Amino acid sequence: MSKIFSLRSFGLVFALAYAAALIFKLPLFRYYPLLKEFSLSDIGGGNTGPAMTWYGWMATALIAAIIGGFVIPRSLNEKIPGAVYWLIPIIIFASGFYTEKTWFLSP
Amino acid sequence: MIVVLTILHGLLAITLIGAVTHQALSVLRTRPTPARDFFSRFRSVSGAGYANAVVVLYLITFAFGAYIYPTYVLDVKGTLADQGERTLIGVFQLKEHIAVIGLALLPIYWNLWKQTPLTEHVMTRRVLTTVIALAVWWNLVVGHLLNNFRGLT
Repeated sequence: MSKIFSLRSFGLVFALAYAAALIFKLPLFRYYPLLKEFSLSDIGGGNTGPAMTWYGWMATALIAAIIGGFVIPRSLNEKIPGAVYWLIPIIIFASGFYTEKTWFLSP
Repeated sequence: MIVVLTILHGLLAITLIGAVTHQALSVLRTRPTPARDFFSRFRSVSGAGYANAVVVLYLITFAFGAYIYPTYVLDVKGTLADQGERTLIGVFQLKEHIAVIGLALLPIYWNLWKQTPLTEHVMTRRVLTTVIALAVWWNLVVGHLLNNFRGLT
């Protein structure tokens, strides 16, 4: 498994894809807790209650990361400087704060 | 039922915090030091021995949190919004992204502890372990405070 799948690529692609999913609003699906239903499209409005996109963002990132883990060769991955992985927390936190900024900025 | 799951989520997080704090403090040592006092003994552990436990505990704690999250959205978030506690909601919203930071780092963290010689990527191992520890601490404190402010029922 570890010869054909790179854990480092998986983690790096997961972070980048999660950030992209947040910024470009690309959840794979939404969950409506009031209805207890998943939906591939936004069915908000009316009596649907709030939509949760967090699971969908992670699902988007997970698919990209699985592909990345298999496609990006380990030989290439091992050439990536370790400091690149330090950027993962910064990328996710910055994109998360960008997504949630309205809670802090608007009255 | 949701109260039991929330307590279990908290207890798992406390177990995780113990493991990852031992490991983070041990990896931050620049050289072995004699274990004379409590703090020295606390950090005089073999960091690699904690990696599997941290990964498993993180995933289980995360899964519990993800499972009870919809109840929070319906019961707590709505109440906080009605009370105008937007900053509190924002802090909790950030908690979900900070939890994902740990999730994204776990595969690399495990690779560095278990599949890479400990003499390589020393600084990266140190940084990632510390970041995971800080993420766990932040999320436990925020989750605990918010639960005190308006708990799940």
